[in-house]
Amino acid sequence: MNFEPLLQTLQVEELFRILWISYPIIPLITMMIALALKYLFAKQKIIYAAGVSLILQILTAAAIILLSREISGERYYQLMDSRISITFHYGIEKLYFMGALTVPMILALFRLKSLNTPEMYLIFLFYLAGCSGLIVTGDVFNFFVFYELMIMGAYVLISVKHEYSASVKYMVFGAVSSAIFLGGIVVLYSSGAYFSFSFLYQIHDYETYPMIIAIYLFCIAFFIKGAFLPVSGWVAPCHSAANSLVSSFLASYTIFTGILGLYYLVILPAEILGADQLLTIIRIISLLTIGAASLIIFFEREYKRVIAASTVYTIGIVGLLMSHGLQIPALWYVLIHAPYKSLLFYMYEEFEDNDSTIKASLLLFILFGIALLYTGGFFPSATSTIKLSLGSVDIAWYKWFILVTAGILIGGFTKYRFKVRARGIPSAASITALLIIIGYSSVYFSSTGFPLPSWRDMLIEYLVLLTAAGISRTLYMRAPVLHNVDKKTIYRNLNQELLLIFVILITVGIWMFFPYAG
Amino acid sequence: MSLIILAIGIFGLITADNLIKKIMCLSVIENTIILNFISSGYITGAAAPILTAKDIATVDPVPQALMLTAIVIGVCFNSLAIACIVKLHEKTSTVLVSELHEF
Repeated sequence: MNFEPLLQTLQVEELFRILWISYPIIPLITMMIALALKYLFAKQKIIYAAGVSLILQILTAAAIILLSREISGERYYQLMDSRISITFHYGIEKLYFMGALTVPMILALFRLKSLNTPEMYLIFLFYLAGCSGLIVTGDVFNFFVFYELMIMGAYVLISVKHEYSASVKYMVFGAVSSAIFLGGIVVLYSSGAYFSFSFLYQIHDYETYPMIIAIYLFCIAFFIKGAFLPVSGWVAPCHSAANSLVSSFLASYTIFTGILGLYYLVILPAEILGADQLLTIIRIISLLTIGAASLIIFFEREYKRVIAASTVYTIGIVGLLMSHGLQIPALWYVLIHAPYKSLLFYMYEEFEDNDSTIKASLLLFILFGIALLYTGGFFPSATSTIKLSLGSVDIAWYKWFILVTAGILIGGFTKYRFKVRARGIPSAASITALLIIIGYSSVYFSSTGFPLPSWRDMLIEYLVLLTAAGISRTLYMRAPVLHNVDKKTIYRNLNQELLLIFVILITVGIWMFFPYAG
Repeated sequence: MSLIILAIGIFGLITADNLIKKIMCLSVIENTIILNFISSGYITGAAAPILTAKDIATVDPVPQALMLTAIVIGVCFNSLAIACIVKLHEKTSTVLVSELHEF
């Protein structure tokens, strides 16, 4: 008998299992080594430890993605033979999030020094452990633990420029969402389910009512974590307070972990249980998020806050795609969003931003144009075809709503005065981001077969996008009153936002459980 | 009992102007959830879940093990939040939401 294929399969499986489990352990081990070097041998090598950790994680992610071609279906890896064992889970969906996390990791190699202090490097490694743990974990409780690791790191990293108010605001929202998430875990356990993601396969064996309550609590928690409307007030201040390295991690990955949780703990169970009200709630909230984010951009002056608000817009689009069962386009959007959003943040540091006048070299403006092409979803960017996959949903006004709001978004991005300066070449980080955009887009188009719309459709879409962009830009430039709108009229007071969370919790709860009351 | 403490925590969180009070209220909310989870695993008359040779009923160990982790996370969060608020106070001389820009 020829055992060679079987042997090869076993080796690939084993190697894949080891890489998958070790992915979040790499930053933790390097953190331990760096600490030992610092306190035992008084050697300040933490920046190198952070660099080595990033390189190892990038290589591990690349190896996992390559090996995943040999792995079909899902895998559950348990650390011991017990129902309550710590479980790791692999599913093809998680590779998209791994790809999104790898982008800011690669770009961070160019700007690692911007973290300044040894303590910040340690926190950064801690943060990376949380980020990568979220991808590989296969149980709900460890999802909670890794999430806490990640956001605790993020709280500190955001204050890298000593802007503590944004950090504290994020902390309050993060803690409220974590408390609601923990409440969901308690209710899930009371339904008789254990915490492994595999509970989805036996979901009908558990008590339905507690299960629905658990999913509902998870949904609210991930709305807050994912910065859906109306609890997205923390996004702009946090991005504004952080440096480009941290902002690119926040916008490319951290916010989208809300989508990861929403997918595994809300949308999948809701689809299996037939809880259509929950999917309707996600659709409504996503549409409101898209609309409000495009309008908020209109009132923002600081360029970095405009980029941050456009991330909220993307969250809305991804939520809408997922709630309609369009998981693959949604995951592609998460993946492709990472490089172009990072590109915008890294480029911002190369711009001269002087009272609404942005100066940069022609090369930088060309890069800016490419990032804008993706942000607005102009054809032939990959995001344009992803957004238009909503056309497969039988709701005609979706397409026009997306096009008009994308136009307003572009208007918000171009409302500044742009001046070309003679000198300035794009940084290595920006060029790398551009190369990743090209790479990811090529993979996207080769896997989807380049879904080309008709010329007539394309022309109409362009006209709608450009008209909306032109009107919003003109309105902004001609109406100085908009410059002076008090931020508190847009973002509200923290107490009002918290009150709003609990009002939504109760209102949505009543609507959701009304059909079950009988 | 848990519901009453939870309501107090939520009320304090929404109405308090002082950030330290807000963090305390968040702690109250989290502890209510922990209390609720641990009490869900309680069985009257059962022993602590320590393995012995005797065949005796024990309380459910899973909530206790998990909530220990949640308590540690809560402690970390509280210390981090207080540290940030102290830094914020050093910079702005206030911890009141109504006086802070962007709040």
